[in-house]
Amino acid sequence: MAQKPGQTTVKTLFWGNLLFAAGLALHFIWWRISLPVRQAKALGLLLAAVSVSGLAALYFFTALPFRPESGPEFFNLALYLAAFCLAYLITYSAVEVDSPSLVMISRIARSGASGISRAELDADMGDEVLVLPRVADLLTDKMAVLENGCYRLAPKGVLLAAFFRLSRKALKAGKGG
Amino acid sequence: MNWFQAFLPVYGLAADMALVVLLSRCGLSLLKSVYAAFACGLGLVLASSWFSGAAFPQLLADSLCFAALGYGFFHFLNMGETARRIRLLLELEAGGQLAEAEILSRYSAKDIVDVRLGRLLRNGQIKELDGRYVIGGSAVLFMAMALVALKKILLGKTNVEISGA
Repeated sequence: MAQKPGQTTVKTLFWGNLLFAAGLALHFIWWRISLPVRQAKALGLLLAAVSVSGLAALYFFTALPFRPESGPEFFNLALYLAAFCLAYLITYSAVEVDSPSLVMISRIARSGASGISRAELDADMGDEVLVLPRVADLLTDKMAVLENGCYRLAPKGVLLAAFFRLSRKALKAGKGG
Repeated sequence: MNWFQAFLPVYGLAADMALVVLLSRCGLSLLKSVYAAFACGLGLVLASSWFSGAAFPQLLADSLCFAALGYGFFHFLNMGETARRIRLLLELEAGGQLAEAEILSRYSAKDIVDVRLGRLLRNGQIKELDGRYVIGGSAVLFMAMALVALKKILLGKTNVEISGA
């Protein structure tokens, strides 16, 4: 289909937002029907499937409006979709697992003007809540292995640890946490 | 659109990443480095998009795409700064083989709460009055409320708990 000159400027914005919105809509519907066991993985696969299907449809159905036509236009749209899907996936990790800072703020806010003491905060936030479940996650995600009562990094964990150690070194930052 | 224009948000992200490293190595705090580098990256994307003759919708798309990439980069840096899992990986890398008690002696719940209380106090998000903590600012509280709202929409949950986290 022949395109008017003005159509070429809205392709990325139009299809990028439409496909991302479609992915979010399917995500909301799926989650309200049944919560996946591995939520982040399911969400990543869903958003990737919608993006790839959408790009394939745009490639094959030439009658679609505002359709990208050249390699650079398809790449620009794919980049836009990838950036938004990645940003949402990262944000979703905070929905799946609450950060200690946000939990602390919520508890302090709930305590109102009288506030909350350190002892009251500590009572709910011990090692068994803040640290040990995270150690268990390392085993579940195959980042670490438990041998003879000791934890050590698995190859996947060695790679990720080296990646973060080097990036922290580049920033002249400490261990973090 | 040519290939140079198609890659504009990537150039912005590359500039953002390089500047964060440079500024933080020069002694600027990580958060200030992130803000300054993001502003420069966005400026670069806007200027390049404008001078390459892009119309407003494409300029907006390039800016939004860069903003989403920059947001992802910020979260990567934030993971290194605050994620418990990454800190545990680094402790295991440094220590080789560690028993549970050794892990807890290197990184405990007390350390986690100490660091976060210090950060929230420094940023004015909470205040300490007569040994009790009260809300001081609204930014982090707003984030917590937004997450509760998103949880309610997606999961039908309204509580904020960290068990299992």
